[in-house]
Formats: sequence, structure tokens, C-alpha cells
Amino acid sequence: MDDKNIIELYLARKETAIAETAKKYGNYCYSIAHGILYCHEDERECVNDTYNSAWNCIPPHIPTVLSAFLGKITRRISIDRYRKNTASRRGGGEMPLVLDELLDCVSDNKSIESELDKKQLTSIINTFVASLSQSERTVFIRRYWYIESISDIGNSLGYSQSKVKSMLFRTREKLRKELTKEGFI
Amino acid sequence: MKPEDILDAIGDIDDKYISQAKEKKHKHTALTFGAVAACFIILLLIPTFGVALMPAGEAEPPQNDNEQNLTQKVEIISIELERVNTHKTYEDKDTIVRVLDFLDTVTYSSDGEEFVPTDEFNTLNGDELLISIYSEEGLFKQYKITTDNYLYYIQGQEKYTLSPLHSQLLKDLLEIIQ
Repeated sequence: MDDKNIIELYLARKETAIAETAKKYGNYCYSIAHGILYCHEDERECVNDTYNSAWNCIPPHIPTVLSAFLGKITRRISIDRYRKNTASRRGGGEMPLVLDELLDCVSDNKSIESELDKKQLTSIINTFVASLSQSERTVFIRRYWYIESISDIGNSLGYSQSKVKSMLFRTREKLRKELTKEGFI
Repeated sequence: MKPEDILDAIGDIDDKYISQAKEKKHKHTALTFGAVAACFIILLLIPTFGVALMPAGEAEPPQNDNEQNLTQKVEIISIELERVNTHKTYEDKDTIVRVLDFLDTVTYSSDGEEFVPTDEFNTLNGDELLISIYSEEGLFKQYKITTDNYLYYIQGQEKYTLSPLHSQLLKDLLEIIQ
């Protein structure tokens, strides 16, 4: 079933919408949750929460890209679960490594509190991502959005692991420069 | 700012980039098919037009090897690593792949600058390292890593600066081959 028909099921409040979403995007959502959580039970719960959240959001929201819409929900819910797990000393997978790598781009450990700063940071990251070459962007998003491992990225794009690491290193350097220029560091 | 703030901000990037990053390489398949089709047509035409279709001379070597796999065009059969008093030849595939991988990473991730090769290129001083890559037809490429952290690539006449990451990769590489 194509995305337009699935969205129409949501708009008509038909519960088959969730079954069709699971059929088409279940594996996709699981792969995102898996990269972050590394725990089958948590992944299943987060993917189910994704379906519920989509059910509650559509309508009024009508997604333009259904896969990205679902992916964003799964990612957000999984990261929240990861934070909760980390507080209770559970968690693993790629997340600690990814957070460690992103330390390259920050100067202190004070969290951004104001909504305005958060919006500005999102806007800077969006502009930054758009400025990258296609290959750099793909590697960057697979690592920091999909939280994929270096070896998975290398295997799926046909790059060596050292090449992926090197590309990420350079991209983080560029991001750090950009954040410094914009006064975030 | 915490790394988590960046992670959250990345979470809100444009939908199109999120879906593009997971797209499969259809273009690659199309190119492969195109390349096979082109080869087939050339094979059909060669008996008809003979040498008229052949290129007039050898193609110029690439000026910049960025994003190019060194093993893409020529099969490498051995690699020689030379220092002031040592000289080793490696013919095993694993070492060849590791060395090429290192060179591929450095030349990909650095911006090459032109330099003028001198007769002293093959003269080694201190901890300098000369890497000679051989194909079945003989010497294919030569690289030299100097003590001041530069990598010189003689065929393309380019110079790359080794970053801390590259220096670490080089250290790993030297440990593997020793």
C-alpha cells in the first residue's frame, strides 16, 4: 500500500492504518530503535509507541514524507527511553559512542535550556547538513540520525571503516567551526 | 551545550535528507548496467572499425586521487616499504589492502597541494618512509611520508598534510607491518 493510502486510513480513523504502517515501516522503525537501544523488549515498546503517536498525530498533522515522520517519532521515543535507561544504568549499543564523538563539537557540559536557542541550533544544523556533499551528508545522517555503527555504514556504502571514521571526523570539525562562528561554542 | 543538544537538533533535520540517506544506490546499478552495455557495444564495433576506435595515447593520470579507490583500475601485486636502513616487500593481500586503505583515507580526507618533485624524493632521512606500489607492469605509484608529517604523492605531484587522525592511522599501519 502506498503512503497516500495509509495516511487516508489514518484520516478516516480506521485501525487498519496501524497494521499497514507496521507492515510497511515496521522494520524501518525497529532498525532505528535498535541502533539506539540494543534491547529487543525496549525496541518493541518504542515501535508500538511510535504507532500510537502516529495515530494521535494524524490528523490534524498530515506528514509529507511518512517514513521520515515515523522515523523521527521512533528516534525521539527511543532516545527518551535510552536516557531513562541510562539513568537506571541500563543501555548500550552505539549511543555512548555517538555521544562521545559529538563531544568534539561542544565546549562545556551545560544543557541548552531556552526554546529560542534550541530552535536556532536546529536551524544551524539544518543549514549545515544542506551544505555538505551528498556522500558526507549520507554518512553524517546515518551515524548521528540513524545511530548506525561505523561498520554498518561502511558495508552499506562500500567504504572502508577508516574512510567512514575520517569523513565523520572532518564533518565534526566543520560543524564545530560552524557552531563557533554562530556563537554556540 | 551538551552532545545531547546536538543529537536532539539533528533529530529535526529536513525529512528529505533523512529519507535520502537510506536510499539504495539505484544510480550505481544503472551505471553498472550502462558500463556493461557500453563494453558490449565496443566489443561489437571493434571488428568492424579496428584500431580507428582505439584512443590515440595513454590517458593522463588523475590529478587528484580524492574519493578514488587506488585499487580501482590496476591490480596491485606488491608494496615496498623503505626506511633508512630497512626495506621490506609485502605481497600478501591483507597488508596490501591495509596500506592502500591508509593511503586512500589520507588522500580522500586531505586537500592535495601541488609540489615540485626533486631528485631527492627517493633519498630517505631520519624516520622518513617511502611506499612504492607495484602492479604487474612495474612501479605504479610512490608515496613518501616525511618526518614533518607530510605525505608526498609523486605521480600526481601532490602533497597532503597528515592530521592527528592520519598520524594515528600511520602508527597503526606501522605496527601491523612490523
